Amino acid sequence: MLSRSPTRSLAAGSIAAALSLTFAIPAARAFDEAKYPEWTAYWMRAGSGTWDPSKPPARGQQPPLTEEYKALWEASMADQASGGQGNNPMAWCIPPGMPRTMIDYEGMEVIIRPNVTYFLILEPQDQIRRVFTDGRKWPEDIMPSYLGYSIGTWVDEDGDGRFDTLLVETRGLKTDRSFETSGIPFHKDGETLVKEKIYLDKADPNLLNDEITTIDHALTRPWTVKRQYRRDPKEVWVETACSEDQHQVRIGNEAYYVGAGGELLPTRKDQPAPDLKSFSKTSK
Amino acid sequence: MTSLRGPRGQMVVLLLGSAMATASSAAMAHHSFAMFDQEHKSERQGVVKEFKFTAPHVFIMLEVKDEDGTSNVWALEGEAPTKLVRDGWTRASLKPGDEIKLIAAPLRSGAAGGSWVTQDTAFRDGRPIAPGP
Repeated sequence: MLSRSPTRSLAAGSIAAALSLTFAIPAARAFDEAKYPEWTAYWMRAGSGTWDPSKPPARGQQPPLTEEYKALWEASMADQASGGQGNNPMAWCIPPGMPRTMIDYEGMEVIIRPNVTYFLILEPQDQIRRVFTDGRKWPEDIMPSYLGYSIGTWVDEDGDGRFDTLLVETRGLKTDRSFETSGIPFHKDGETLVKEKIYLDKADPNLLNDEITTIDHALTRPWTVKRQYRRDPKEVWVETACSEDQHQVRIGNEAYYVGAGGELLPTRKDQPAPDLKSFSKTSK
Repeated sequence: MTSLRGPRGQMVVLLLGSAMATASSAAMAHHSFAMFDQEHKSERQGVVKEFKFTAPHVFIMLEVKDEDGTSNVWALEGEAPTKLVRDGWTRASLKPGDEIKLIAAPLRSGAAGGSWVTQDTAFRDGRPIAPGP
């Protein structure tokens, strides 16, 4: 058996390192940035914080809801008018989920990699949305989540040899979501399907378009809105942790408010106090 | 400028553009600002007890003296910190003891809570709190 001299070991190590480098370089070069659009920016929504930015808030949104879900929405707005939060889970720091998160309340960054495109979204709590672009199939079982499971496809629409459009489909969403603040609902069956077409504006490369179509059994037809985001040189990256100082409190079906001294305040007139029967005494 | 009656019947003055600013704020907030009575906004003057530059929304805890001489500390909810930074505010824009005035939309219950926006907020002597966007 040959003994391994230090020199031979060093040489073997060098060869291994060289081989490793040889294989590593092609892998690193597999991502050709020139093939992808330039979406690096702090993107701030160009329109309002309603769902369809081309229409006024609340009833002005005119969502194509079935009669059953229109009634739920009306109940939500009635509750809010009396001081409650209605069907707006985000009020309790539940993530907005898809597609609401694409309202982009307070800033977003997009990172394109060959196998996945990331959307880093600030408000109301730092979220990472992954859109897989590696050609994978849909999993047989998707664990429901607020952002859902997204698969995307890059397209070169204008045929110039460079991708310019990302087509995305999202499934597997949790049900405690709403489209926007007034509480436009989704169906309780959890079968929401969201399709997006994301591309830079032809006339203005500082504008990113997202045509979002929601297919849901609470709707009488697919509902498409166009949201836009503008490159904002005034980047405001503030860490956002929604539960840090949340004053909206939900106890049972009632919405309360935390006052300046930490006390519980009613949000509507003649609101009943929470059930305190398990407390031996109450403070005054 | 426009004026209206406050919840206690007192005449209050709204700064120009406040209605629009509040509507915009309500649309972008993560929770419904319908819980705050936009029809009965009124000016509050008081002393800052605490300024909380926190998520999801910035708070001013403001000690306000009522007409009968009693004091209450109001929990007044503003917009997201990112929005305030964009408006030129920082976590040091206010400190305890500062005397300020603002237009507040109160909780519909009448309890000591409400909302405010940067455009309708100034030091009591009229100086702006931040340089603006």
